[in-house]
Amino acid sequence: MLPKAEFVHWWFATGFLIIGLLLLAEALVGGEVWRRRAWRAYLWPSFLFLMGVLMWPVMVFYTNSTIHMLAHGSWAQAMMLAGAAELGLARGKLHSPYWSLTTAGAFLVSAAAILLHEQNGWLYARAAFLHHAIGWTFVIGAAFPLARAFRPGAAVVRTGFALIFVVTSVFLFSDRDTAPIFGHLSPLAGAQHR
Amino acid sequence: MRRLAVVALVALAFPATAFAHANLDSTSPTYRQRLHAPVREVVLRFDQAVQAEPNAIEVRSEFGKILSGAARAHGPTVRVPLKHLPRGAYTVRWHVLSEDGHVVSGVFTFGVGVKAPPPTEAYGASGPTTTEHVVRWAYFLSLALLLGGLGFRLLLGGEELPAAAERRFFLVAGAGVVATLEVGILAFMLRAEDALQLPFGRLLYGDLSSIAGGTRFGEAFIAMTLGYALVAAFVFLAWLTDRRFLLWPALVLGLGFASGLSLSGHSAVDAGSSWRSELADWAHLSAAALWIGGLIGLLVLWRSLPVLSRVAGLVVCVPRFSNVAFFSVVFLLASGVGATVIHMPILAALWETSYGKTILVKIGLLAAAMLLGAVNLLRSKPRLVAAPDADAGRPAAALLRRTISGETLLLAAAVFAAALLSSLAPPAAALAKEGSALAKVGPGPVGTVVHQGPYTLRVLVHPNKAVVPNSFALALTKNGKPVRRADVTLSLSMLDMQMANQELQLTETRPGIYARPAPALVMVGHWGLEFNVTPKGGTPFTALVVDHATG
Repeated sequence: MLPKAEFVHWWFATGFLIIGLLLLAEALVGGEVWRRRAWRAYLWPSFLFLMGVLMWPVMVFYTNSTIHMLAHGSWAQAMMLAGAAELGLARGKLHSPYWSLTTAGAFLVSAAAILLHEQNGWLYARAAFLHHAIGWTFVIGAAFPLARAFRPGAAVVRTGFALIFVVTSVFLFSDRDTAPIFGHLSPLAGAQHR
Repeated sequence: MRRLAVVALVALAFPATAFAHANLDSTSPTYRQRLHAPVREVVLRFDQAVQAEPNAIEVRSEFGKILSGAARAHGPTVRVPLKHLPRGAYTVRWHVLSEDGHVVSGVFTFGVGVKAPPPTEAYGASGPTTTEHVVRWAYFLSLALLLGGLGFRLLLGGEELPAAAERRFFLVAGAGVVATLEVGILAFMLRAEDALQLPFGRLLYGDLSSIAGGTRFGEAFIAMTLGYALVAAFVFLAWLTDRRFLLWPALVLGLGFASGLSLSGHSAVDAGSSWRSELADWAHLSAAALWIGGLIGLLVLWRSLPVLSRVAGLVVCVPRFSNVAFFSVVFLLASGVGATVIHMPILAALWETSYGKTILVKIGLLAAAMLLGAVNLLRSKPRLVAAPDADAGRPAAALLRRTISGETLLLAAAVFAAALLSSLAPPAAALAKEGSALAKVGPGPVGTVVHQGPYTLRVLVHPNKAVVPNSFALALTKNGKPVRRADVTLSLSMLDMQMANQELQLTETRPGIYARPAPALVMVGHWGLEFNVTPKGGTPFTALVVDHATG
């Protein structure tokens, strides 16, 4: 009945990729050009907010363990909150640039959830490796939204912020043993369990 | 650096031999399956190989008797042989070791010849705790904050509010929807913790799918979580775009999804429940939420308006809110009286059962709140409207603030009583028959003689203690001679709360003596023991005895 977990990971990877590419485009052309069409400013925060809303079904339907349910719930809330704060800033409803720190907080909360819910070591398995990689990418990547609050125009900050999403999407696309991006698969790996 | 890149690529390119901990793919029997014949084994299939201790799967009868043998694992499959399963409900508790070293646990139920109870009522689950009462209370208050807050803002229609007041309304509604989501998750976890009977550390790896997908409570959790996430999105969009009409879908969805509580609570699952009891419960909940949340909205408005324009603001919104509050109270009373009539088999149950006593406390608190509401309606509102200027209206406004604060506190206490009520099972319908009992017996061993027509019945219950096995016997005589080869069944009804009846077929062990041992008195309290006797060639009759079983 439920789609396989890897499919859901790829859907969210697609969302992160779109956000990353939008942010990268903004970083490349510069904020002034990007905002010549006012609606463009809402694009990536809207995607983030929508992904947060769409994470709730993942939370309530994948209940094969409490820790997964809680992790999915925290991502849903983190993405909705960060998306909401960024939309508020884009719309002018929120004025303080420090609202950007919400995104940094969302990165850290997401990282904590992903690292805590994967309790195996880095090299235990591919999935474990990816979980650690995504978690630490978000921990380190939180520096970029943090810097955005103080230096919103800096090209390095904008590019780094965009690349965090792109890298995360690549990790998510690689997740699970049937991920197409790395092809399929050595017989040395043992029997597939899915 | 190059080495790190190689490790990364290898780890990404090679498949995982195991993804984290094991997930349960299927079971036999399935969750809550009603079997027509007993099965010889229980089988669990996981998505990866697991290890199982001999006691990895424990199958218990509804009385706690273990009927499973030693479990064995073969790759991803774990089996446990069963002894002969008589007709009844069974609880399966399982714990296996994943390849990653985590112990994964779960619980589910099935029935042989009977409907299986939900896993939240599995053997070993202890029912709602004090923490759960508090969490339910918090849930009701969150709903009131959300629904009442939205209702109050919509009630003001197109009135432009000062920016601070507008911001506070969105903060109140936002806090309400976030709290509804968070407290909902907490309530679900507490229920799961009780069903699985696991400490928190192990609950983290507990399989919740049997509770989420196999119970009305779980289905309500899914629907309400998704519904209120959507409500959160509407509230946010209304704030972001300054389009207040978006609050309408938020309110409609919020009220609609609040029905999840009515569709999964006692109003839906207890004997005698119907769409009427569900509708009454939902109307009751919605009316209460609009009333309490509206009062909070009024207080928020009071605090947000500048001192000089408070009276003018109240003159606009108090008359409108008074109308809504009046209709909410009418709905609250009508639905409350309706629900009480549905749930109370006899009037005396109101003061004889804990369910009835809680209703009385709730009625008392609501009556006090309504008294304050009447003061607002009959004194504060006319004075405010009639005040020629702000200065003249100030005393009425001050009275209003005091009464509204008191009303809100009383209603919050009434909501706590409602939270308690939603955890308590209503009294049994069998209570209505209590008046026709031939005798009241217990506590302690029973050996009472009663008469029914030409028959003399000696009722024996030993040791007449709850939870432990008891011996139930009936010595049946007519004109001093034992009545042989009669058909005797004993129906046991819990009189203190709603619970499924149990039926025992008594067998003739000696001439005229019909007996059967059974751990049927599953809890302390008053039990209706109804002997249904069909003498051979005679007219059937029943004899009811009310028994008090202690621990």
